Amino acid sequence: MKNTKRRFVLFSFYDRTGIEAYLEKQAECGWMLDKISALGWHFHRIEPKKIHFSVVYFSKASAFDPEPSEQQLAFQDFCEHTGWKHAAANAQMQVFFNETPESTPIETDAALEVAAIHASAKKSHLSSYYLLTGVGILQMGLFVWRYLSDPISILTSNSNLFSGMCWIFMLALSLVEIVGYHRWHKRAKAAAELDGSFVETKGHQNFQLIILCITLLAFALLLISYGGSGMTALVLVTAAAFFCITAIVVGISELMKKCKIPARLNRNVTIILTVVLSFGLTGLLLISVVNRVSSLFPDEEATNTYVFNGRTYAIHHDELPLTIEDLIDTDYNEYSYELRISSRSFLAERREFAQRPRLDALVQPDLEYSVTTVKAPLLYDFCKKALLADFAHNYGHPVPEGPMWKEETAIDAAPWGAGEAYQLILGGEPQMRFLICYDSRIVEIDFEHDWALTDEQMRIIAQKLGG
Amino acid sequence: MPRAKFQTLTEQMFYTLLCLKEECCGMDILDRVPAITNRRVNVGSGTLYTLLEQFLDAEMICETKVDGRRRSYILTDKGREMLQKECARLTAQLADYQTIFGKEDMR
Repeated sequence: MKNTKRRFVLFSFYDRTGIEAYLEKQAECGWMLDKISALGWHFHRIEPKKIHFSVVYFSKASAFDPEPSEQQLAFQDFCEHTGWKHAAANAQMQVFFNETPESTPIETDAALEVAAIHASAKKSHLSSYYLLTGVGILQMGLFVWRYLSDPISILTSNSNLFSGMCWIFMLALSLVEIVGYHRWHKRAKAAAELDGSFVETKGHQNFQLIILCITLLAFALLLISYGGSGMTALVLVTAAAFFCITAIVVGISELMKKCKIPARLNRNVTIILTVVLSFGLTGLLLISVVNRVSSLFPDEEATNTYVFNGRTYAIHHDELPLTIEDLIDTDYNEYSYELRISSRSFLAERREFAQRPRLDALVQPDLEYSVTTVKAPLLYDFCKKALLADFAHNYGHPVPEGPMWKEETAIDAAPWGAGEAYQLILGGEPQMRFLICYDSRIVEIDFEHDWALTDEQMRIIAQKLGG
Repeated sequence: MPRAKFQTLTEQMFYTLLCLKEECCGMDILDRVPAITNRRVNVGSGTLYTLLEQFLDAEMICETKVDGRRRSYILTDKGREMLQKECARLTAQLADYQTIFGKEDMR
């Protein structure tokens, strides 16, 4: 039978009512708190009994104190004199317990207690949440900007959607804590002034728990969606690195405490270390991804190569859903078949293909197309508009003045076997570039400018790419 | 509207200062207040710690002795003045009550 246990508990920093109730329940189940650290709340086994807990806030304490200050010890002496024994501390938060049922509470003046909680909140937690909110707003802004400027790349990437979700959650958590705290503080201050009563605190434990569960579930689904590819390794390495940084920072800070390094120096070193390690690790990951991109993301096998103008080019043989050979008769057999981009999320999928002749055979036609599959029907129109808006910009050269790719360039979709079809018009000239909307797929296809498109070819395209 | 600091004294402030007519340490105050008031008033240890700090800052008490972590205090003239002012306020309140209800209504 284990005589100790560790729990990771979620409480709002000011939720003294919730923490006291939790600890009292633990004591009734035979567990007594003896330490709070970055690695969780540590308990040891005791005989199950009713014990009263009191969570009070000592604003002069710091998470970086090498040991309790004289003032803190004097405070503990006062508490011990009235039967309250010190159980554990977490920065300003001090946990006391008392086995005498009718003992005088540690705090008997609500106004002073609210002021003590507020002084502690201002000293640490509130500023951290303000910082997190600032970072969250910045990241959310970047995410929204990316979403508006290139929605397809966001919607077709599980990792982009996951990181966006994480920033939204982080912002929501910070705001809920800040708003919740200020609302409580306002009510508690007014009640203490009015009749000397203490307004019980109410944290957001359930909200925090739900957010944590959703995040962990989404992270697991993200890993599953990579299916053991190089991205799985990258995400796992990043997550492991995050935990390593946390462990290093916490470890060094704890070591400094043991070596009796003053709190101010410990705090400054910890902040600098966190910033340096975070940026260092991000840089390291970036370099390793760039350097090892070929091993993390194995490229399609290039079965052969050729040299043109002193440079070596690969000829790929990826499987393409539609080839030039499906559309016309050709005896040219040195095409490179390339799956250029393949990104997929639970909402949408995008794949870009190209079939190119060798550079020394440019008289041969080439073909480029992309297939965007929208799995969430609600997003179909949004994706279509985004692709239409983006279409001319991806044309590969500056767009001249004049009519651009717009919805009014819609063409008859019937020969394509599609719901809608559009053709690119540049400078008043129709281009051999089409956007075809099938049930759940949107196909962009780009032919040679002199390609003679027939109804039969359109039927084949519908059959091969229409889904 | 928030109460101006020490403009009036709470019961806990009043009895803490009252105990400090004679030199005593925090723990003595924790015992004396319930004893003086027949347990009607109790000062919590955390509350007392904060009050002593605030009284020191306001120079209503001064430190007289430091024995390890045990510190003793005594009322200053300013503290005594505050206490007298509070006493006068309470007396005036009592007098007002008696004017309205008469002495016989006192329980």
